[in-house]
Amino acid sequence: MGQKAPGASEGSASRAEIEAAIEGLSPADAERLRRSADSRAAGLKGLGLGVCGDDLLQEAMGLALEGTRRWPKGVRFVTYLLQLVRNVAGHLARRAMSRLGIPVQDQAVVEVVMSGDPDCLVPTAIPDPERLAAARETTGRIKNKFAKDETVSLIIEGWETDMTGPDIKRELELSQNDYETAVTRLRRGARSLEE
Amino acid sequence: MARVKDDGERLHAFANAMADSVEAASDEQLLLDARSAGVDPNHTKSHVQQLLRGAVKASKQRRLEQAQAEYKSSLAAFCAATAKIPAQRAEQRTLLMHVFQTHPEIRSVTLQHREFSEMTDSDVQTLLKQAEQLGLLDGLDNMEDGE
Repeated sequence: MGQKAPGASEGSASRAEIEAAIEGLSPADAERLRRSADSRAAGLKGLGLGVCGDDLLQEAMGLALEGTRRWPKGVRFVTYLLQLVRNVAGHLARRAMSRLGIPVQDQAVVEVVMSGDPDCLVPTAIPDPERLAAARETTGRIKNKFAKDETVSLIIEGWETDMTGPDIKRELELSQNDYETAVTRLRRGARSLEE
Repeated sequence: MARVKDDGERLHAFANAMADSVEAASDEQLLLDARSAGVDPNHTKSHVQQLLRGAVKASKQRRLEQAQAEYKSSLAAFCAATAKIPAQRAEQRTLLMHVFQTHPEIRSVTLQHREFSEMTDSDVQTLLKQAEQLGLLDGLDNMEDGE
């Protein structure tokens, strides 16, 4: 067992174990981490925060090493880090929404429980007209790409209004397989727009 | 009545749903996504690892700086605590004798069955430091007359 990080308990991983987990990342897990962080960062731009996926990943890693919520044994490292990225993004979103006077209704944001202090990550504030124009441009590109794919276009509309997968499937009368296939098309198409 | 989201909020909701979808996707799907976009997953892996290693290094650096700051702080406190102890050994013995006279209970506890003259210079310094930490040297600053 390696040296414990400060605040680490018997049920949490040591720094050495965290470092070993970084070295053991698979290409798929790295893709998962990067794309999730990039996506959440793109969403934060919609709320006027100039932050990139790398910033969120670094902040999450900082919390893993120095925050109060350690990597619990028995949980996959990637799952744990993805949750920290979600927490950091949720925390920033809540602050941005408060500044913009937007009521916090999104459960993903409401349920955020921070495990450390994310205040060292200070994103650039994007002025409101620029924020809205950039958001229109980003979603416009994705919608254009799928303009001829009715199912994906409707899924995009649903996601934009916080509809869940089961709600969308029910509203569109889609089978699980049809929904998953359409989401895969969307995810893959959006990936090509990210590069 | 539901509030209408602006374009930025809609992007935020969409992007979070996309992130959830990415997290839920299988390894095979994610690798296919990457390759179909012309991205080398091994390159992504190297990038992410480098980023995370950088965060680990920064954390170690912060801990080192914190430890150095704590060391400097405790050293400063130690120097401040020993500021009232004279540098000369003879004066140190005089001061300790004065402490014993002022606080006879300390003498009995520290000397026990030994004679004062049997104490080494190191013993004298240690006892003076302890006396300083207990506040027993307070008010003795003007003891130049060799009481």
